[in-house]
This record gives sequence, C-alpha cells and structure tokens, in this order.
Amino acid sequence: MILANRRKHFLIDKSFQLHYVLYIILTLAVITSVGMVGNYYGIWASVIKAFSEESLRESLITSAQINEYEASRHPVTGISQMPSLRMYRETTLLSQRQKEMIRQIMNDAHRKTIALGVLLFFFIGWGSIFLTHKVSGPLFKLTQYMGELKAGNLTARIQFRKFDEVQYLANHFNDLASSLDNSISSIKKIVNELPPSSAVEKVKQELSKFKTSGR
Amino acid sequence: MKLRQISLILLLTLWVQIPVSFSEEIVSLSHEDTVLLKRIQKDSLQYFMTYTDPETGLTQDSSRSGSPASIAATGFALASFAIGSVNGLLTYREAYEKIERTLDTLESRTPNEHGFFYHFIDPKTGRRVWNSEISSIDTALLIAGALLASSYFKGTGLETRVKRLYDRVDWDWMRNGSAQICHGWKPKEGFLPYYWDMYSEHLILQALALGADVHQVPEQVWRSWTRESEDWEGNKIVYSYTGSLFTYQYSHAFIDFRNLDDQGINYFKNSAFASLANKKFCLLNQTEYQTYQNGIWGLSASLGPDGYQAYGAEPGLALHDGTIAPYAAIGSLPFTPNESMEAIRALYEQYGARLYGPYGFRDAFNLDRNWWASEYLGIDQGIVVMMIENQINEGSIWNHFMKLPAVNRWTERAKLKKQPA
Repeated sequence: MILANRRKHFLIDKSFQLHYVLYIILTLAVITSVGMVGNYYGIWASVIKAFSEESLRESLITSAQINEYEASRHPVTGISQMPSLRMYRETTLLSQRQKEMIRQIMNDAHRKTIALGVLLFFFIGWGSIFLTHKVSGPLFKLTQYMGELKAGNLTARIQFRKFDEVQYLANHFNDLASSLDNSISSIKKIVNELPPSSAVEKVKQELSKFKTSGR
Repeated sequence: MKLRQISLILLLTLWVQIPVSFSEEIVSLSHEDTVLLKRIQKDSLQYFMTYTDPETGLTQDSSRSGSPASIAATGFALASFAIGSVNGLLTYREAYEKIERTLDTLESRTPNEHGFFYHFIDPKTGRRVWNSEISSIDTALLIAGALLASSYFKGTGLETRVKRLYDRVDWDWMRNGSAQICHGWKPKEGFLPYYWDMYSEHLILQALALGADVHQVPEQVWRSWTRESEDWEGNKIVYSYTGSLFTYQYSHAFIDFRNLDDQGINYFKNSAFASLANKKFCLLNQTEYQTYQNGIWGLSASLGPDGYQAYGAEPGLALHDGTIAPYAAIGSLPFTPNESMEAIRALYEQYGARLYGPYGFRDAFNLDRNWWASEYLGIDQGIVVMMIENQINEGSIWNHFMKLPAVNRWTERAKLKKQPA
C-alpha cells in the first residue's frame, strides 16, 4: 500500500517547484556569501596581514635591531659580527617560503570551500525539490480529484501521503464529496420511486451523469 | 712625497695644536644659536608627541613603521613632556594627561619582573616583544624619566604614583647575589652573563638603586665597578668600554655631576674630556673618513650602514666606520658648549637638507658610504631634548632632579663629596 502510494517523480509541478527552488537557493547564496566574506576578512585578512611582505619585513627588522642593540651592549671586537640586519636580509628566502606556504594553504582552503559550496548547492537544490514536492504533490492531487468531481464522480476520495502537507484539505474535500454523494444518491433513490413521466425521465438522465455510491 | 703622507704630517701637526681642554666658564650662546637649539628641541620633542601611543602612552623605539615601544624611550618621553609643559611646547594639562596615561599602562598592563620592565614591548598592548630582556638600565631610564616628570608636577597624584612604581623595583634582586648589578634577565635563560662592572651610562641606575627607599642595593655596589682610566692627551679619562659618547651623557641628563666628587673623579669634567677626545678622534681620522671633515664629530651608538652599532672613540674600543650621530654632539652641549655648537651648526648648515626633518636630526649619516638614516630613535631624540634644556635653561632638569630624596640618599650612601660651586 505504502509502495503503491510512493511517488516516482518528485518534480510534479515544474513551474511551481523550480520557482521556490530558485528562491531558496538565492536566499541561501546571499547568506553564504555574507558569511564567507565575513569569514574571509575576519580570519584570513589577519593571516594575510601577518604574512604580508611589509609585516614580515617589519618583524625581521625589529628582531634584527633587538639583536643589534643587545650586541652593541656587549661588543667583543671590531664591527659587530653578531647576527645583524644583513643576516636577516638573507632570510628573505624564509619570508618567501612562508608566503608560499600561506598562499598554498589559502588556495587549498579556497578550492575546498568552492567544492563544498557546489556540493552544498546541489544538496540544497535537491532538498528544495523534495520539500516543495510535499506541497506541490497534494496540490497536484487536489487538482486531479477536482477534475474527477467535475466529471461527476462523487465516489472519488483524496488520500494524501503520510508526510504530505495540507492533510486537513483532504478531510474537507472528502467530507464535501461524501455529502454530495449522499445527497445525489438520495435524490436518485427518490426519483426511481416516482411514477414514470417525461419530466422524471429527464431528471433521471441528468442524475445519471453523477457516479454515486447509491443507485 | 705622496699626498697621503703630506696630509698625515699636517694632521699630526694639527694634533699637537688642538688643545684637549675645555673652559669651565659659563658659555653664553649667541641669539642665533639659542634660536637654533630651541628649534631642534621643539622638533625633537615632536617625536614623542607623534610616536607615543595615545592609548597606552608607550613610546616607539624608532620612527620605523612596526617599531616596538622601548621603555627607555618612554622614560625620555615622560621627561620631555614635563619639560615641554614649562617651555610652552605643550600645555600643563596635556603633559599631565600624557604622563598619567603612561603610568596607567606601566602600573597594570605592562608585565614586570620584580618591578623591572622588558626593554622592548608592544606599544599597543605592553606585552614583551621577541626575546627582549628585562633590562636594568632601561628600567632605570624609565624610572628616572618618571621621577623627573613627577618633580615638575609636585603635589599632584603623579608624585605618589611614580614613587609607588619606583618602590616596586627590587634593585637588589638584579644583583643576582653578586657585587654588581646585572644587565638583565630573561624568563628562560635567567640572569644575563653581563654586569655593570665599569664606567658607562649606568650611573643613573646606580643612583636609583642606591638611593631607593626600599629594595636598595648595598653601599659596596657603588665601589664594586672599576673606574678604568687612560691618560689621553694629558687628560685622565675614566672611560667606557665602547667609548660611545652616550655613555658619558645619559646619566648626566638627569644628574648634575658638576659639583660631585667620587674618589677624586668629577664625572662632569670626565664627560667633557671624553667629548673633546671624541671630537679629536674624528679629526684625526678625517683623511680616512670624509664624514669627519668640516667640523663634524660625534661617535656614539647609532644606526649605521650595517645596522645598529656601538660606535665610539678613544679611549675605549673605538668602533667607527665614518658614521656620525648628530645627537652625540648635541648631548655634549653642557660639557663642551663651543665645540658642540660648532658641530651642530655644521651639521645643520651642511647636511640639514638631508639630515634634518620634522622631528629634528635623523639618527645618523655616513658620507663615505652615502648612507643616510631615514629613522629617528626615541632615546637619541630624548637626550637631545634634555641636554638642550640643561644648556639653554641653566640646568633646569638638574635643579629638579637633584632635589629628589633618592638622589640625596645616593650621594650620601656613595660617599660623594659635594664640591663648592
């Protein structure tokens, strides 16, 4: 029963569902972008600044000067042979390596973020179709049953799936259909008991257009 | 005979003729000289106005971008703000608030060890920078600056707060159980293997350590360091290891040594002899280094083409490579006013276009290597502000500092004889 009730296609109402999928994805894209930009400037910006050429240069000069100050207070002979600014200038290679490392880390992080972003959008898109189908499914069913009703089938009843939204609509529809069914069935019964006449025949002809549970 | 040899003979002749002596008479500066000195003082003080953090009151070691704060530079800043408040360079209230801000930081935000501070700290947070050491001399310069500043604001809360800061320093701990005071301490390494064991800029440290109300060092610490001396052209000079001029100046910026006798040594005269020796040393080497020509002298620790070096003259190690620090001649103004003034004028007139900027003279230059410092150093601008003040305002800093109870205690405990003025 459950299997029989299972929908094979989730994209039931293309226009309606894609419309909402687009809304959800756009809202999510805006939120994600704000989050990412905030994250970038909040976390990465400080890392980038710390590893910037200027900052590295300043740190190296500071450390070199502290070293030189100390050396100048305890000189041994001649012009100081202690690690000086010259030596620290040679560590430019180190600073380049540090920058390469941070660039590599950032590129990796960005690549992963983009991959995760694409995956996220895919899941969100799929999830949105699944979610909207819980609304569009009942609406589709309701439209079908309305057609049945219009065709005169008063025995038709709606049965939504367990987790479909707007379950209450089904009850109201079924109550309405039952009420009509009972009324038309009763009228059919009364008309059948009347003595034949041309007027009665005409009524019977009209009533025969309705498919009811009673005759 | 080669030109080089002729110059050498001429120089030797000159050597004999240059008198290594100084006049003890009060030298009155010309109006133009005073105007120039006032301008240099005003501009140098601007360094502290610009490079002292408005939140923490900590002063950058140099004008270089990213420079850490130095506690010695901060000490000079405190002194400079106080001086500026009486010279009209900043208002009384401005100076008071600036000093107060620095004290706030030193009291609560800057880490200390037994009351001693790290030499280099972050100007924004007050935290230790790199592997900077807890420094005895730099803490002394900071406390001296604070004490001097508080003496300009007598009867205010600053006095009590500075006294508390001074009392917090455990000077005796810095001896590490030895007879002399140690240069410093590091958290992992412990005490540095260097002690203040001969004449240098540490006299101010000695004065504060001996004159302290609490945690004072024993009297014998004063006698424990050696007074190495050398007869240099007929003058006996108690010299520092490097022969850097600043070693003869820093303590003298605060302390008036003119009438103090230490076992027959007058350190004021000693600094005057050392300044003259520094001038003559430059003169003797002017054929080798173009920078030393045209009346330019002043070998002292400064930035140079190969980084910061303890440049100096004889007597002493006398490292030199043609780099002159303008602050050196200015810092000797009270000792050698005529000679210093000549050098200041020469520096200003000949090289002012490249050497003089918005904060006074830049740190150093070297014509031979065509190297010009782009930076100003806080401690070097500080000695300029203070020594000019002592020179043009008749020792006004000395008058304030010498009245401090700590100074009296030091002179008594060190058994310094007060000579008649």
